[in-house]
Amino acid sequence: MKPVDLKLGRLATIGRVALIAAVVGAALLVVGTEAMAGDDPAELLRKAREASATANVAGVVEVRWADGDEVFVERVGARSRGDAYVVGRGDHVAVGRGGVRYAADDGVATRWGPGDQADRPGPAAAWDLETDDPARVAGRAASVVTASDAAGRVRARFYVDRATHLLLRRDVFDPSGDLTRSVRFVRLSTGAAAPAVPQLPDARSDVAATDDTPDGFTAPGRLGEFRLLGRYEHPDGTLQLFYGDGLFSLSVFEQDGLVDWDAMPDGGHPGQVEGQRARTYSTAAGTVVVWGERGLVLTGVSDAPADTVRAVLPSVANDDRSTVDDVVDFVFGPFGWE
Amino acid sequence: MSEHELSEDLLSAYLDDELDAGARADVEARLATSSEWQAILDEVRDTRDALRGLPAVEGSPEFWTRVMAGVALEDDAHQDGVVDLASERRRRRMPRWGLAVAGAAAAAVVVVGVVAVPQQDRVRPAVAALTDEHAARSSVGNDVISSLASIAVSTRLGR
Repeated sequence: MKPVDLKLGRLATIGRVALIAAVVGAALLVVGTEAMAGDDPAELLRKAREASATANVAGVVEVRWADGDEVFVERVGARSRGDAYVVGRGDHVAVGRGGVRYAADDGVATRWGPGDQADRPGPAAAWDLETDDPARVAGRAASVVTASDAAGRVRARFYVDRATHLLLRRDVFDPSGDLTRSVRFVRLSTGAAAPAVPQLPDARSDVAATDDTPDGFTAPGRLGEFRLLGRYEHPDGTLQLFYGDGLFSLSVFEQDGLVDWDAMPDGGHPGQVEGQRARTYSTAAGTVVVWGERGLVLTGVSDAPADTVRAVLPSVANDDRSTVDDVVDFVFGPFGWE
Repeated sequence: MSEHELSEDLLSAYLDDELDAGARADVEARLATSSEWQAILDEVRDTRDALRGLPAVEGSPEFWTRVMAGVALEDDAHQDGVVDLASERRRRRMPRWGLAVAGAAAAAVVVVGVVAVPQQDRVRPAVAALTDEHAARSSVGNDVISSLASIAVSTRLGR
């Protein structure tokens, strides 16, 4: 072997090592940068919210919820492109376009127009958020964010697609750690074709945002960690109060009258709210609690953990906060600490 | 004979034997010639007999205490101690038109209570529809698909 050949060979080896080092270094830099961005759980959930408004997806969503020892599982098709969404089909379909929502359910068509809402609190406003070990959902790599309550118990887990930031799965747990409700993609492809939005009857609900609280009704500015984001008046006189705590939402529907317990849907579980007779249902949308107080029929609906919902509902009819408190909350609410 | 006006008070006093001899004779003379006086006398007698036919109820000690206190107040009001019985009876007795007005007022109160005062309706909240309403509202500005999915699946609650 000639000396010049040796020298050339050594140079070639050094070059290859340098090239490999550069590639590895660049890769580590990229991974490190992504890891830093992915380490902020609140930021991950914010991105998931934004991605939901623009993603092009087609897939199958599974909704699983528990009612006592009984577990229900349903699967529906879901497609979205831009601001158009179609979930389900046939007699059970929900459609979104911009801020408008339509639903067809066993021949009953409903349309919900866009409603003014105050800014939602940040994802970490009421819950301790942490990133967990990554996981896979529908064959896709996902970052995992856990939400814990004040006692340190994990009460919800969110799976965010690493590639698109879409929310792939959300689980809610009871205080014992048992899964009570889960919504997840079981199949998913991105970059899908535009969904064919079905033609639905223009059954306007005429629900209007309002700043007024009718006499005899109540509208607390806060229910525990939930902040009042909007109030809506229905044609039949029902007042809807819509709350959010950053991760979950809660509606309280108020109707003038007494609960006709004999006409309530079957199922559910008896209980009490503030010493008043109540009935609790576990549904695909979350927990529903019906009770009567002060001449009002009250219905609370929320996707939050059931015990959290039950803890805040007694405040509905015991709003002893002053008007000044409510004004302060309304004005400064959007600037709250997160 | 003609100095007395036709009145229930006079006929009631006649029945109670509270008239002096002259007034009594005058009333009897009018009754003998006037069917109107006779009819009113019968009416007053029937009313008095009906009242007397009511069962006697023993008042409680507290009741009699209140009555006696009321009598004492009356005595204070009539400090001279002289009471014109006939004028007092007229003052206390409610005239026939007054009874009619009182009855009409009582009936009006009942009607208003039953009809005008709003009764609380029995309400059956449409649980399934309200659940969908919440999910639709919740989907705005949030993860849309996971919220709408709960609308698309059967709620099992009916509407």
